[in-house]
Amino acid sequence: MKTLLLILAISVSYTNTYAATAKDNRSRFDDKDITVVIGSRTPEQLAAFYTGRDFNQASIDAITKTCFVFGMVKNKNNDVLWLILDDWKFFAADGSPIKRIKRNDWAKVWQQTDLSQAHQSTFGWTQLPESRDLRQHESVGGNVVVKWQDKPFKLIASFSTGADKSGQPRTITVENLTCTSK
Amino acid sequence: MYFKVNKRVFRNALSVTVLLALLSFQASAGNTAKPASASALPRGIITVDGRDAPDLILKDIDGETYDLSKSRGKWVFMHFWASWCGPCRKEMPTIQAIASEFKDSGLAIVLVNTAEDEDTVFDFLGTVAPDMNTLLDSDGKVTERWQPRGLPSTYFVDPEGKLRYIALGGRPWDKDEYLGFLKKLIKK
Repeated sequence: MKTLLLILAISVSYTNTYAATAKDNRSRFDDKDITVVIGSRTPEQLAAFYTGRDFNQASIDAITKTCFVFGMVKNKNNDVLWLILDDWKFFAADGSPIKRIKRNDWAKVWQQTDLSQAHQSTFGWTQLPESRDLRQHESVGGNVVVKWQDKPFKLIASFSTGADKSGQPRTITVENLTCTSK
Repeated sequence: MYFKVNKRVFRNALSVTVLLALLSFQASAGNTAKPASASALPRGIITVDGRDAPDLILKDIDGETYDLSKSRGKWVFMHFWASWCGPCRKEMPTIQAIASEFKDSGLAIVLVNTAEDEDTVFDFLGTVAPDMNTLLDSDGKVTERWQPRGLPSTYFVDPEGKLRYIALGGRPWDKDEYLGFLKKLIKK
């Protein structure tokens, strides 16, 4: 019985920090203020999605040479939660920073692969926005792209809070992200 | 001996109940608090600044042209969507469910598909919401000019052509909370 009480007491204190679970190549962080789901997509998943939307082969080849990390962020607090992708830092297995491939970088790629305007637009809507002031009960989902990694890598994602970003920041660390199927 | 065991069980059960009650209180306290200013609107609908709605002239799947400026005098429910977006698939039947209620009313329900071809749109609507028509933003440029906060997104344009509200993500429009909001709009 004492063990049960101890477990319950730990549960009470743990809900004030983060409850993190890893399942199916994705990690979930959940507390009363925020839900974040982070994972990665395999080249096969990416090729299937964009082929299904009639992207040309050159563009699919360009996409699958990179590494897509998907994210879903939900603000459960009354205050504003800021998603700012420049505050998401990726680190390689050796600790060196990993370059993120931004929207403007893709525009140059699409010129080379001759991707239509409609497909460029669709691609854009599948990406996380560079910046978003998430209101109460608002969620956002999409991909963020980094250079291909052969080894597992890490994400440290920080979120400012408050309309003027002066609130207590939240930080989430996700270890062992991979570009291929685990 | 029998009494002692029961007393201990009772004491332990009481402790567990108190802890569970604390857990339950903590969870509900975090999820139910709402600012007073947000209480008048259904969940996920926020006010916007009343700037002019961007121009919008597009053709629908029957080839008919729609011009937003011709809807002056009505509220417009301007909904941006795409077939590949999961929440859009869930939300679209709820829009179809309310469409007949607002036909010939002070609210025009206008759908805009973002950057997909006619076959894809036709297949999707035929399966998910066969009574609905949609405008086709074939290259996605009109949607980008409106800058929705993701797909799906619904703007509410007032009878003077100003942006007044935006619905964040997919909403169950056939639920009383949202139906009530829409009915209040056209009574204004």
